[in-house]
Amino acid sequence: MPETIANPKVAPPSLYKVVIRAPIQDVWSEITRTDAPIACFFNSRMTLGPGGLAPGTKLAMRTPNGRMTGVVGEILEIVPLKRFSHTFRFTNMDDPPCRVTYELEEVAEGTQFTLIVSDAIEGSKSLKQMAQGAALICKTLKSVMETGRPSLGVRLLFTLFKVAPAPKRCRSENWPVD
Amino acid sequence: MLTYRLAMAPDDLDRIFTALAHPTRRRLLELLRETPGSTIADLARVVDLSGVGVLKHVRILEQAGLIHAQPEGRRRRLYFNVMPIQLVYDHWTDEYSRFWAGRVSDLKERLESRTQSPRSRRQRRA
Repeated sequence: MPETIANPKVAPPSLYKVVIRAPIQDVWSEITRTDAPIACFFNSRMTLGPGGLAPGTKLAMRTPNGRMTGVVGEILEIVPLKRFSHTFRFTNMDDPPCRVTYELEEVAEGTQFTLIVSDAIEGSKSLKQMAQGAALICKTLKSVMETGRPSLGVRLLFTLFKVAPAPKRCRSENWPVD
Repeated sequence: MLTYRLAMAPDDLDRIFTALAHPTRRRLLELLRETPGSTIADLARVVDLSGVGVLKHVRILEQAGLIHAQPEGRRRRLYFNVMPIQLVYDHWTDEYSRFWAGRVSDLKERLESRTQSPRSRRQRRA
């Protein structure tokens, strides 16, 4: 099928993998927590729809104060301690959603964490943003689980997020999950 | 003193540098970066090695974490994983040196691209 605006080319999956020296249960709890901001997800608080952590539930990644929403999606697959997959759309971009999958596997050193980005549109802004963000997610998760906090650079980034203005379209009232 | 820098185990560093030290393995990584999801057979066709020869190199890259293999039926699709290189970079730099190293390498790239491109030389003269 030829590539057109109506039928854009889907990029091949991209994959980021780190071994984290921490128990698999701790890593799973960190990436699925809803009670506090998740440092590795740019200090966003994961807000879930009424279905909770289950396929079909809508999710939103909101700022710690809940006012702004950076990412929305829908849970596609949950296999506790093994796989968490959801659609992923930046609220400040018009690209169609892609798919993000987090895979966990117990290894001798701790937990192997793999982030897979798939179904993204070739050349899209979202794909470029994901390429930059995915490596940061992996290394921040490793840092949080192994040392208790993100690196200095990432902490400075969080401070920058607090003062940087976000577009009006990112206001959370525009992105309900229920 | 409590340090918050991510320490890499010496074995991890050895595996990564050993894997990257071979030109064929670096070529394989380049190919996987350009065409993620290639199989051993796909790679063998490009680098002019037997499937067994490519598999030997791929195993070393997998042990270093630079390649991730995903099974698909009877085949294994291979993907380049940048994270070990990212972690080596983080291991040898800190926030301060990372900032200034980035500025210096940007400067080098800008200046060298000017000297290498006759078109940009003409543009400068005009």
